[in-house]
Amino acid sequence: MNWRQQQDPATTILVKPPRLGRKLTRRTVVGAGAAGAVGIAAVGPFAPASADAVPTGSFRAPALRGQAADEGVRGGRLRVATTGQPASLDGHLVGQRTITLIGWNMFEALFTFDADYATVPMLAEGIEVSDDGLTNRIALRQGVPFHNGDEMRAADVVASFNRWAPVSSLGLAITQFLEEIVEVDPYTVEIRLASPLVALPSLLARQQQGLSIHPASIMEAAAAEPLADEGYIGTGPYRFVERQADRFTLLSRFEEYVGVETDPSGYAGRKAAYLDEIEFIPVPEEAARVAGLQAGEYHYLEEIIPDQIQVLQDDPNVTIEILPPRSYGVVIMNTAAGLMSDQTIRQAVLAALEVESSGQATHGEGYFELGPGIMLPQTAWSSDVSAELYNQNNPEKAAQLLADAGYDGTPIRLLCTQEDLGDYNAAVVAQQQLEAAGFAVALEVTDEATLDENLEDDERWDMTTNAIVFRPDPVLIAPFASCTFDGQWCSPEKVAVVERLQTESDFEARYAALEDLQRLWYEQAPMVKLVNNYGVAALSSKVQGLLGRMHFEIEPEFTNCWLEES
Amino acid sequence: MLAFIVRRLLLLVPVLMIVGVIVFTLIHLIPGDPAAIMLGREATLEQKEALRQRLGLNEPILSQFVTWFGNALRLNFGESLFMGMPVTEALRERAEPTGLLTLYALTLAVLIAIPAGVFAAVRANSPLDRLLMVISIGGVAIPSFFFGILLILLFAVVLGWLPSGGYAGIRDDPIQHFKYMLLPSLTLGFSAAGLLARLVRSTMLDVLNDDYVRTAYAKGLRERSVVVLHALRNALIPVLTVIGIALGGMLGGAVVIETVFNIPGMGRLLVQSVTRRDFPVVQGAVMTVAAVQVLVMLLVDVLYVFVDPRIRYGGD
Repeated sequence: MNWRQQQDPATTILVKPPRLGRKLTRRTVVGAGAAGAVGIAAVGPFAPASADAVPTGSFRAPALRGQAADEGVRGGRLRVATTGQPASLDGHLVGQRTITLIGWNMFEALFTFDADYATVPMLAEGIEVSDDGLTNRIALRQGVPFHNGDEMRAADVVASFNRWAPVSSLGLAITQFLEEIVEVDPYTVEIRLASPLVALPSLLARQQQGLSIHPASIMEAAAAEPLADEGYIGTGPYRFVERQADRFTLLSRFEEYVGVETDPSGYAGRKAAYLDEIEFIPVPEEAARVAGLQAGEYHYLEEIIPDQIQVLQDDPNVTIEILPPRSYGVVIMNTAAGLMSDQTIRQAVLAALEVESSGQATHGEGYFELGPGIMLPQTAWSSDVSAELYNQNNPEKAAQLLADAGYDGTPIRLLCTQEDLGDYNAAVVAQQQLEAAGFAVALEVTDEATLDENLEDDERWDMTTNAIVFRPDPVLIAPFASCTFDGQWCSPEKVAVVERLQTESDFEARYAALEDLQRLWYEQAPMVKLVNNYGVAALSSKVQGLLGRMHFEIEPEFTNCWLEES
Repeated sequence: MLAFIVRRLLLLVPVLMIVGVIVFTLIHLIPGDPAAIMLGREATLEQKEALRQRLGLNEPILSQFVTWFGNALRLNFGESLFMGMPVTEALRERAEPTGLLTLYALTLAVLIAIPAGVFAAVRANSPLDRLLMVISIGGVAIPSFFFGILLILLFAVVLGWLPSGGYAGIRDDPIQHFKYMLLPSLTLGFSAAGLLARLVRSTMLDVLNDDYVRTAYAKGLRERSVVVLHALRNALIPVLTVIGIALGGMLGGAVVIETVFNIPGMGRLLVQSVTRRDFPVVQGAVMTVAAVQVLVMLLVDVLYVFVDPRIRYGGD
């Protein structure tokens, strides 16, 4: 086999793109799986995506690069107030924000994302791809210990992959391409594919429900069952200590941790564990989280709503940092059944909505920005294509489209939940604007569990509100990559474009595909994009080394940060 | 007396059976899929189906009921879908915070309400009476979550004397325990104290106008003896009943207080379990609360005998 190692300009990974001109098998993207790309170009200063966009705040993205010098203060217990406590910390099985926040302090993946959201090695040394793009050989770092003292080897990676692939949406995306994964030697694994998958390293990278590496014995014993507490063994800088249901999850420094020696960069590079312990405390009540931060009991809040930010703004003991957008709101339409399966009616919705009011209602002045891009502006994928169809605020056009579609005034069922206040407020604003344009809208407010069940039945709903959260690559976003996400956008044109995104090796070609996907988004109107929602970090002023160094979009890791006693 | 207690305890069985059937029916009637909640919104249909299968949620509802009911009769409420631990263990863990919170709140309520009610009755229509009654109306009227947040802002955020929320076990660290429990107990106790104080005042006013009280005064007894030994004891019967009912109310109030003060108790567990459709925990928790309520009312009935020796049960 001939190997050729090549430095992708956008990453530090050694990659070999598949042979040019190779005919690819047309493949329907089924399931909530997603595929990502290796190459993501460097990010420029943070700026609104569109010339027409009206930013409501202005700042630049931090450089997110740490210093090589060991500057932190060792010691202390960082107390993090989370929105709840997940059923388990098994990130293979469950994709939840809090699991992502806790888990990646203990576990590590083969790859991760650096300051520029380029995919770079973490437990892997690198990846070599064969000329035909079908064989991906991943060399592992040597001498990396698990928390139980055993060294991480290829057998552990294979066992972790085999458990993860059938149960996670990312893994399911790979299994469509996968022939087998084998252990070549104790420090090398090989992933053999039926057809090239340029996005493989991104799919294997650190993210929600990503492939964390655990000892083979634990993976084989757990199989499809959730890991028990004693199974939370990884290679990360912190190790699991104890978990008490609805009370706390405690991690402590893993003294034998062996990481990489490059400078910290986003989620990549050196990871210094300055903190003795990290305690994650479930505090579901928003006001209680904020009061606890003010009283000095918590050092970091997993989530804060803009209303509460006002409370903290003048507190000298608290730091509030506005971050690059971590999501954008959407009004999702049910393309599979009912009124919204008519594209003209969906276009009428797109024409009727004015998004700035929605931003004001959901996040408040200063916490959102307008932008037509379906990829967030801090990625290299941001595009202004079809910007003229964004934020139309044109009820007359909407009324005309409704007349063209023969709309008879049947009420449109708009489903939402008050458990997510942002989604609820967006739904209320959308209802008012749609009614002004001639729609009849029935707002159905339920709890989240009921909403989820209703959304599973195509006959029970027409529209709902949600947010699409940050991903570094378009094919890691489920509504794009999948046909089964809420609303079931699955036109043949979209499937073809997504296939290009998954398999094209050249960034320019993939970017062109993304722009085509954005055109289709505005033409077929499966969803209406609202506004980009800024992330907000709320933390104690004692926490040093976190802001400006760490990404927050896929939750921060508490490495290279420390507590400074005031 | 013993026969009465045994009879009442036996009554617990049908009460709990009825409660169990109602709760099982209600929780299964409302929509919401535990598997979808556990796996998150991006989970595929296949993943959710596999989890449903593993949790036994695909069994016919009647079969689920028969299994659950059979186990419940043996005090086995099954395993929490969400926490992966036996429901009885989860409830036992949370019984301490809720039990102690209720106990402290009740103690505070009684310590505040009885003197306040008695003073108000003895000095009826005086400025003191009016002041006490205004405060007690405040206790009844101010929502406990709002009062709790006010206390947090004052004592935790502004003064920094007490923690804003959380819990420490009484055996692990008694001092921390009382620091954590003071504000929630005060919040919960204050609202109950308002109601109790008004009741003590009105019953005391009735009793103070009775002939035997006039006789006691005529015998030359001091006011304190008349009020405490003669009047208060007779005024306590309705108060005891209301304390029993208030205890049940406090278990309900604990749902809110435990959320505001982030106490890992039974109330918060119940709310979270409803939200995440953890059926076995909801059923177990509601049945436990129902059993506690029945037992408290039994205790109140027994206490009547000690407060008023004229009361006899059954063949005593």
